Amino acid sequence: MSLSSRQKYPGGLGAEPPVRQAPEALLQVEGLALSIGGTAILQDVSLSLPQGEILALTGESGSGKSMTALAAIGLLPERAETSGRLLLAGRDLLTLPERDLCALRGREVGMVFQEPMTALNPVQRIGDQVMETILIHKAMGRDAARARAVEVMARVGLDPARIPPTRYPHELSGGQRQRVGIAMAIALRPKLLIADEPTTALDVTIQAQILELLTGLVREEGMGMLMITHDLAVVAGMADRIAVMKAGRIVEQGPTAQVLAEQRHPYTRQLFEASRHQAPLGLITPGETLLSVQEAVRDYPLPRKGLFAPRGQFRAVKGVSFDIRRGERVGLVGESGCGKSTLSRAILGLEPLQAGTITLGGKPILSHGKPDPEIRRRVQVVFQDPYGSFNPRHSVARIIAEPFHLLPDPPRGAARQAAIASALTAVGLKPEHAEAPIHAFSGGQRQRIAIARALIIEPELVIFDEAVSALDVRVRAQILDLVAELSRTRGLSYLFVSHDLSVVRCITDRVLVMREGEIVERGRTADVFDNPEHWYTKSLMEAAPRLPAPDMGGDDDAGGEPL
Amino acid sequence: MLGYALKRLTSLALSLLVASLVIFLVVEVAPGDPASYMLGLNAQPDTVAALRNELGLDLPKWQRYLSWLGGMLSGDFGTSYTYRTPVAQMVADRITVSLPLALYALGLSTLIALPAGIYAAARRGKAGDAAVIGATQLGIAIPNFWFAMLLVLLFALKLRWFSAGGFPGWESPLMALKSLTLPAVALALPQAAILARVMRSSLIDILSEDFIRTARAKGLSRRQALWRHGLRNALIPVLTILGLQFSFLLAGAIIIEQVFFLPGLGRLIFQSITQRDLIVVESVVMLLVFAVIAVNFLTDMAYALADPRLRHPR
Repeated sequence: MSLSSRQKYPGGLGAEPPVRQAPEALLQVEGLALSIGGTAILQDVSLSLPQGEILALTGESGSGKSMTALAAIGLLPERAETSGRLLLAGRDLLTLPERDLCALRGREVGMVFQEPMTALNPVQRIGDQVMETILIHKAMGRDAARARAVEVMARVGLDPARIPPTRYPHELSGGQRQRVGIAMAIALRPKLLIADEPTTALDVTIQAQILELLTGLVREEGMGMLMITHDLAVVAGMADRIAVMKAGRIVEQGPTAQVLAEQRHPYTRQLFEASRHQAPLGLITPGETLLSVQEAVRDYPLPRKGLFAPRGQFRAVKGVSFDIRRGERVGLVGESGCGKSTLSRAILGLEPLQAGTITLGGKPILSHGKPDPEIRRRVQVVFQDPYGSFNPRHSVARIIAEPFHLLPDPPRGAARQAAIASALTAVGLKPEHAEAPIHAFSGGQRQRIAIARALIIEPELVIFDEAVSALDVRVRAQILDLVAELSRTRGLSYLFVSHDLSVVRCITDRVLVMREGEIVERGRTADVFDNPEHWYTKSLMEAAPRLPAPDMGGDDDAGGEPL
Repeated sequence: MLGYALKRLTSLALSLLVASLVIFLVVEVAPGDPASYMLGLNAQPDTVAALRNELGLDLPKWQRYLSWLGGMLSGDFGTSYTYRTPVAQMVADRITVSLPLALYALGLSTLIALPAGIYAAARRGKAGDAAVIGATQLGIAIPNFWFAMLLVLLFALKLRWFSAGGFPGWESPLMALKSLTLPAVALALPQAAILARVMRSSLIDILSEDFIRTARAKGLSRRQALWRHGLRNALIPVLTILGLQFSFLLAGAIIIEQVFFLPGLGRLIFQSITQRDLIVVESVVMLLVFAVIAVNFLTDMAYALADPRLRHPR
């Protein structure tokens, strides 16, 4: 639809008296309720976003924030039943016919999604995908559209000399792909930009760049932005107003400074407390050396460039050395691709080393290229994805008892039941949960089950590989408390691998910072976080979004507790 | 792209070499001596020996393999034991029936399947989708030779629109195509049913991808998102099935050629086996293998055209 369609609806429903509608409100949501198949998803949601401002919608997964965003661009699932009003520049999107919604999406509302890796069409050039937004609305001719696409891609930081529009998405990094996603959303200078967790899938330094880009666009182009995020620290740094959602309702909203300072609703308070959670680690006296990694090197072969060209090598881990002593809690931080996952897989004996050694209690993990079961059962792992790392057909008991196959003489019958029950109790679940199927459990409970599985054969070292990254803040705080408690009561040593600096800070004594296959900085956690020495560590700390200290209220730059 | 093509070509050549060896060995161990079969039960042993010598059957196996292989490379497929005519000539005659039949059937099946699959995917869960699913179920369940007989009963015997069988040759292309129509339909329908299902499920998978939602957020309608972003991505698994089907259509036409009395490769191979005309069997099977591998190569190339990730791996 053309520009004239905007003028057809001056102010919208002229006959009705405006209901508490601020004159300049770009997006006005009034008593929005939504249900799908009889299940209520949203109830009485009211929001107001003036032109040129940023409204952050925050809450845990399943709170309805993404559904609210989809409603604001008219992309609700077909079976959704709605009531209330959702006015964009005076027009009610809930009653607008599909044809008008198509004309409005991309032109007046642009949307940036969470997953940059899958949000682009893999078989189309990025320039064509940006251009499509312009062409589909017949906003300009082909040549003008091409020029505008190049211009807008440059605007979002994709230098045409380095990333020409003829590239395909798979040739770009995650951050670059997200820039393409933003370029598509803003190509026609929409009045409203919706960003649904735009940086959740990105590394912390890239996150800072993308957030800066989004805020800059909103301020310079005078757009309104509805920002959906679970991360309160992100919100605190950029939003003008915050709305906190819980179970489909808005429980608190207001100017950012005010919400941060007052935290009137108990749920808001809980969220904030969980975000700056410090797990009670307690003091430990490290014992003798448990794990020793010496000059570990791991190479991956690269695909051949030509038919007879020699295979190249990619060195993922470049001669890394460190020790973990008995009882120690060590963190390993770094951005994606830095080699931290490769290193943890090597410690588990899942990958061979090209040079160097990894020993546990003085004995090598791999002997003649195979994991030594004697050593192997002394190390266990907890993975990130509480949904993907279990066989969905197995019962909890079967999942937990899996590591028993590492034992020469696994317990049977009553002893087995007792071991399962005690592992479940240790992680805060009940023994009667053993027979339930795994799909009956929530993400946090599943992560507890994963920890129970790691603990059942009483390993000396546990590797937590991004073990809390997929969890909501409140659940995350509970799991971190559990890990801290296990280390206090059982003397458990662990290596906590994460890209999330705040998590590593609250759960470790020592930290290793990894970059491009090397450890660039190491030391006591508090020292490294408070006085980083290496430039890379410094840039990580600076990029990490932080919450203002509670007593300082909403003043963004009040410093307070870093992370 | 060039490197990718070269890699595929190398693997094509290697597959052909292995296939030729396997075919030669299998035919060698099959029972029945062509010479004694040709001369009948009462032949004198020395007559048989003379014939074996004339046909080259007394040479060592490796020598016969090499001369067969070398011959094929230079276009000489040997001479039929039974008819004493060059195999190349026989194959050339037959392939003018079989190849057009396979292509005709492939074209028909694609023309039916892709629109049906797209239609069903776009109306997922609605009546149109259910109708397509039902029809494909039927198409997969019905054996094609039985379906062929039904076609003959209806269109040849009852309505008399087509002839019941035989092939008039290509002097009149229209008549030739007409006589290939019923066999092509009989061959195509079961294939179309499978292909339509693959198209439907592949497109349904793609339509739930994130980038379709992105396209909708740009202002594309459901239909535009399907055609501009869904289809090309959904075609990749469809190409795989299409490649497999072509080989099947070429080789699997044996039964259909029997039903319609078509002088194609299928009939040739059937006759040659019953007459122990080993050299013909070997050559025709080798040709079919070549066709299958060549089609696989083309499928690989089509993948690369459809999917840039194969062209420029990161």
